[in-house]
Amino acid sequence: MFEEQIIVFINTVLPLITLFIFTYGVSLRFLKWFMMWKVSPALIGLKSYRGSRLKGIFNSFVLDHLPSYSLAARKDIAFYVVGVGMHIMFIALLLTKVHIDSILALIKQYIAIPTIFYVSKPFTHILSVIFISCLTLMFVRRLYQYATNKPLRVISSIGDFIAVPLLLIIGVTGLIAALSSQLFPDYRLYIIVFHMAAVQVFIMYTPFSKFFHGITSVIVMTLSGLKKAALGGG
Amino acid sequence: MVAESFLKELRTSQIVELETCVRCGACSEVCPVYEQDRNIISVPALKLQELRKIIGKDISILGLISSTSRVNLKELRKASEAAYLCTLCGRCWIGCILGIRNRELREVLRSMIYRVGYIPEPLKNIDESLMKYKNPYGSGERLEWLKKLGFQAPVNIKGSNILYFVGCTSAIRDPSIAESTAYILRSAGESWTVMDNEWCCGSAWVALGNMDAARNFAKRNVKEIESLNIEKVVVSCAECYRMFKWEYPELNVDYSFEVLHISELINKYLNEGKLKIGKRIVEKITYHDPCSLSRLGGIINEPRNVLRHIIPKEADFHYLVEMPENRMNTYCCGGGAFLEFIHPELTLKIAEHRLNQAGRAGAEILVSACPICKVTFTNAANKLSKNIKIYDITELVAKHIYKS
Repeated sequence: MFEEQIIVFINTVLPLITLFIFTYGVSLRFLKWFMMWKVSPALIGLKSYRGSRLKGIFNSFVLDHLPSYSLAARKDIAFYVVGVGMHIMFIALLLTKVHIDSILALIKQYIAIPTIFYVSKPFTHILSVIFISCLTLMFVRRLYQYATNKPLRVISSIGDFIAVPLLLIIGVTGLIAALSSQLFPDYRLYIIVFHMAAVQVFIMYTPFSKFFHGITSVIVMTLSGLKKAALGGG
Repeated sequence: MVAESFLKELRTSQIVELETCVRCGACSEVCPVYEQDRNIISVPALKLQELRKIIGKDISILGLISSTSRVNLKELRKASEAAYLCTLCGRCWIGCILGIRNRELREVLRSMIYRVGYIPEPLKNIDESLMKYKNPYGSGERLEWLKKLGFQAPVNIKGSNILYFVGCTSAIRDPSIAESTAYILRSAGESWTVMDNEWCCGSAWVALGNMDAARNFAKRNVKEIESLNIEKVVVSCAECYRMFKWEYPELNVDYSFEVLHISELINKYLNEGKLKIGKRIVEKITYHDPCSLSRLGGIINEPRNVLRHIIPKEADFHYLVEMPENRMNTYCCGGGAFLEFIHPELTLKIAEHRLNQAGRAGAEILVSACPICKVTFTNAANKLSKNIKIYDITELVAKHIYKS
């Protein structure tokens, strides 16, 4: 009985609370930006662009992350590969069948939406393992630098030590949930429920944490691409 | 409102950038100051975090509604040392995976520090000099270089095609660049002039953090130039180029003339045949991209094209060699943003790193297109007894122009 109540809560009430907190946090951020709206005059003037703006933005999102001057400047290539790998795996995992189906099932309780295209399941477990490995390596790097008085010692904040473990919990519970039907069939339900709860905590925490860079980075990378286009790099 | 005056230079996009930094430390890998200094306070992201701490309360919803600033002055004083431990070379922008323009945020931080008077002691002399002499070098004689020319240079000629904006460093610290530029313009048969009442372009003010003064200097320079009814302004200094081309519009200072760096103009003259090269150099040359001209200015190919005219045509790949960190990824000379006045030993280390790169590339001549880079490299080469010749691109061209 109690178990049923928990499952109903996580499937119906918690998503609404999550949505409310997420919307509230995002609105606060947007409101703040709107309240001190001041844009760069140099980027508005169309005549100031030497290169193509579209190409500049494309470079900023894609080419700059491939072997290029941006990569050539780096000394710690391993960190770069692990960091980019972790982000790609995160997006790929979100697009796997099991996640899309769960998200659709959740949303369909409230609104009818058409079926969308999504990536199918075949490599979910491998993606999870890579994601967890990359995330662990990044966390170890932060802990190591923190302990040895390297740059991350001075720039890390408490949020960094909450965010990454939270993601790790989500990754690990997700992987265990995927394997649970074979390994721990008796605990499968609990693991899935725990995974879903952790995901919703992650969504609630996003607007108030570094996770928000998932949204703001689109703006920042676009602006950076525009600047490069203005300089002639686009 | 106090808060408003503190946040005056901050744009919405910069707040978004502040909130986007994930503190990954990628910027520290590419920062020349951190690489040479290994002082933890020179990590670029740290300055960003400090700015966030300082203005955190002011950029919250409550702070934006409130009429009083809650800027954290204690943190501001603490951030002063780190904020000026930087050459403003902008390499952290290239190193940032997300493309956060940390350099511009550093300017905002400096503007706040300047406002409360916490700038480092050595920069106070520069501040005074800028106020008194309108240049950072404490000299009242900006036109001395004209006397060394072997010809009469046109001064304040209205309606000229080109105005040569000399810049403080070329006019005072390294006049041979100004002389060479004047000689090139004369040799090309150009209708040109200089101003006898030129002020600093404002880059020195930006480096110090006085954005209001930078804006006033910019407005004043533009007004004086426009009163001469000039079509084009040519600069031989990378800092002046960046200011005119990119910073003036950011400071809301509009102008009606075209701005060119001298390397663009020389390239054009050489292509059109207005300038001809006499004897070519048969020594290995390497070109150092000044940060303000390449990464922050967008001029990358023109200086190289000019150098290709000076070296033997048939084997340019042999005579024009590249250092590993070039173009947008160029390494700083160490002399930017008055770092040499605060930490001369650090400037020397950064310059040495670059000179070593030039040496490893096999270069016998290092050419730059910025007087600050040239002065910094020349000082470093002398102090470290490096066997490499340092030139500005104008000096090299002036030396090799065909003399009929």
